[in-house]
Amino acid sequence: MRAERAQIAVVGAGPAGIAAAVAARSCGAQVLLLDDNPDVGGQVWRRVQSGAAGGWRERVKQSGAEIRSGVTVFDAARIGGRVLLRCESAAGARVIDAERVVLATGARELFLPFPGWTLPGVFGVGGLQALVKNGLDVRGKRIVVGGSGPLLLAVAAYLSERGAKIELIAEQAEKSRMLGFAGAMVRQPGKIWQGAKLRASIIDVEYRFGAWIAEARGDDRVRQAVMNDGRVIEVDAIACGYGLVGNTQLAQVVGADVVHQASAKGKDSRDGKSQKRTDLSTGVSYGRVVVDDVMRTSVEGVLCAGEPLGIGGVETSLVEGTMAGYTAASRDDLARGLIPRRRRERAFAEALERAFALREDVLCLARPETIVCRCEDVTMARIAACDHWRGAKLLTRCGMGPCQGRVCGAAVEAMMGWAVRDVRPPVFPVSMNALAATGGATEAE
Amino acid sequence: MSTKFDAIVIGLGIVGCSCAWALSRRGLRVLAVGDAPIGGGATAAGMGHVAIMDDSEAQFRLTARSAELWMELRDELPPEAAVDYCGTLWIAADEEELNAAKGKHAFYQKRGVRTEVLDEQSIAEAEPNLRSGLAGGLRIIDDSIVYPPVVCEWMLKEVSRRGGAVKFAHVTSATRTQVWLGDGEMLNAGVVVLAGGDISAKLCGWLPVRPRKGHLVITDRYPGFCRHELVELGYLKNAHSHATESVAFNLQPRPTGQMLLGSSRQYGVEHAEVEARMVAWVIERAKLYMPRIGSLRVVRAWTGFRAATPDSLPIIGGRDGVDEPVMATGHEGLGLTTSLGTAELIASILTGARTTLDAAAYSASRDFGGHGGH
Amino acid sequence: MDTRAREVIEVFVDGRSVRVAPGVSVAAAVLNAGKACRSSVTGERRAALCGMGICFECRVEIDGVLHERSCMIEASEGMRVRTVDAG
Repeated sequence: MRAERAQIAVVGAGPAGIAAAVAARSCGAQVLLLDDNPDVGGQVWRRVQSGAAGGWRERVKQSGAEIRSGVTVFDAARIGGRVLLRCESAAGARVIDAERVVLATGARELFLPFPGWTLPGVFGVGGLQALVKNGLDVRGKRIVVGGSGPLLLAVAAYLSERGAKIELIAEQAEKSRMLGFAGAMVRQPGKIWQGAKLRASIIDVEYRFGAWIAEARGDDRVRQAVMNDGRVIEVDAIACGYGLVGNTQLAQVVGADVVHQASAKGKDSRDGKSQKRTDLSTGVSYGRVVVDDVMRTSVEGVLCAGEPLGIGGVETSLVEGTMAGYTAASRDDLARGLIPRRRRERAFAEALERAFALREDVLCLARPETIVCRCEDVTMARIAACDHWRGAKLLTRCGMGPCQGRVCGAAVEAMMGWAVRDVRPPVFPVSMNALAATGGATEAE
Repeated sequence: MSTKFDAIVIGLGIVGCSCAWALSRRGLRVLAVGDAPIGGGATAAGMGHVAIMDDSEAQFRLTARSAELWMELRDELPPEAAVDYCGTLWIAADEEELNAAKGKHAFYQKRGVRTEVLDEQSIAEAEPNLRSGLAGGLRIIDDSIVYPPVVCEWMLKEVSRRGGAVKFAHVTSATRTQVWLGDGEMLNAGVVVLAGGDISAKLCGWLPVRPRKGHLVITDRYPGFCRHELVELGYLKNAHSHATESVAFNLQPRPTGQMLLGSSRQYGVEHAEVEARMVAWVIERAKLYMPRIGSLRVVRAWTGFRAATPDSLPIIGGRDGVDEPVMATGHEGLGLTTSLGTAELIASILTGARTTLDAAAYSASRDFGGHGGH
Repeated sequence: MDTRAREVIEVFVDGRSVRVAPGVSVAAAVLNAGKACRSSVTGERRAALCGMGICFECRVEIDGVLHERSCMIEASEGMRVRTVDAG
């Protein structure tokens, strides 16, 4: 297959990718924007037409960037001074041969296994929102929203607007932790307003700190949520997610440096539950792509922006995406002008992360028989009997299914403190035909 | 480590684990030492095919004896070892290859191995997803598949249960009775066995063992798509040639409905990266035999390094008068199959236990045709 | 045919007619029909978790193609979807 030439290819059309495309186009560069969803906007702006989302959506559509949706980029390689992206879509396989690539691959939810979490009707928080945005009917459904982070409130409000009956919002973080966070919010007045507005739309709903879903019960689907205090709530659905994890797979495959700072917490602290740590923070960081001050990774021609650099939220992603777009278009000077803004946004994100740091309790919800790897149905007991991720993978096959450890890898990293870091192409399951068609391409059209 | 061991086995792959297990079963206190994890390296990367082969009499004897030992072991292994007697189907694309299949059939029949020649129609019935118009094939009825890392873990548990131990450490050098580790520690034992696969030559420079890189991919679950381990009959001339690069169609159905697809062989490649070019080549080759395979989804791809020798036979045993470990290496793509036979032979060499295998054929002192380090 | 031009799309989930609005994902159509998606390795009934194409729990058969992520695909007229709950 002959490769298709592009000056700048942006992977991911969430806020960071959109901003990168817009910025690069504003410098006159030719831009190809690739995304695996049916429409641009990423997860956070899925089907949102109003406000900032609508504005950016409009800007990118008017920018002159070529937008391709429904495209999965499954491999990236630096060859001959250029960056090759191997892609698959319903239309077939493609190789993009780009001068520069901006990786804006966003984030996924962190799921922490608890008994019953594999029952139909137990969703992620962002997961349920995404499904409802795409047509899932929640009118009249009783839902408990649990986990951690600002998303809980936003999603509860959204579900409530769509006719769901929110029974409880359970935030694992202690309220006292929010005091420091409030301090950070004082420096970010816009966000306080946003938060307050969210609260107003679900004013009647109980929002409890230091609370979590300990178990889901049901038969053919979820029927009850059991809370950490023993309270049993009849439900039609559960939305539970413990924050976000950046998608660093493509960056890793292209060879970009990624820092892993797995928590010091190892298997021992899990076995000996009596020695529960008093520190609420787990210190789990997962992988973060390393960039310089204008978003260049360690691989020449490859830039990265947004969540893969560490969870930062929409504002951070927009700033970093813009910076990456400028740098990709050889306007580092413009990117540099945004360094102070980026620093502010990152400081806010870090305060947020500290406020919602995971407590030990939610890392120990899985019972020995609880399934951790949903692709291969590997239980907690089998994983806990291993010493590290690679050993667990080989012996139990955890992480060897089609999700490639996106769900269980992050969970195991959080629960066991293991570094989870083996990434190889294809970074998504892909057809044999696509691998065959794209494997040979090295020359451009 | 203060405890004295009768034997130290270097290498935690299937060959090392089998040797440690076989020696401990014969009453030796064994220390298995090597880089973590257990069952990593080529063992983790390989397909897990137990195949009776006929390239040479020596290869046949080792694989056939090993297959017998696998058969004896099957009921002892944990269910996660996923033993499945799916049989191998050698595919003959044309009349010439079918004649080769018939020749193999005669060879196996004479030696008591259950085989069956398939014609055009019966191979189509045996594997409906093969393209039509193939000449036929040869079914090796008692070939099987197994998931090797689980077997390794089980074997080392048995070793520990019998007073042995496992130590995760990087070995930097070794003699017939001593092993030095990366942290400077020295271990002593009655005898040292080197089962280091492709890295064995790093410890004993003369060994004519070279890494031969391979690529494999695994699909999502498509139960029933493929029923036997499928290998093209061109495999022998392709894969066993010492060309720099080659591929051959080799498909294995896992009990879960997933399929492993290989295989590629590359010399002189040191990096373990998955090469898109090689993966594409492997798939193109497969599509010549199974056109419909193109639409199946690949879940993962990976690589591994086989320990290849110039004559495609493993190196088993010690050299007289040389202060170096007893060798159990160079098993190339047949490490899983031949691990149990190798272990039996090692046990025979070290303890005098009985074996039907002839050690001379695999001797470390044999003539490697100038490929050795001498 | 451009499905967005239609007001209602008819898909068949395990043979049963399900009507959805244009743009609705197959996962939503399946869940709205009271079905789960796939059977796990050990035979558990599973349905969508992440909603964004990473967990692979929402895999179904669509028009004869196995293992399609139903959350990433929009329902289209006449689509035939097969789930774990197919008879």
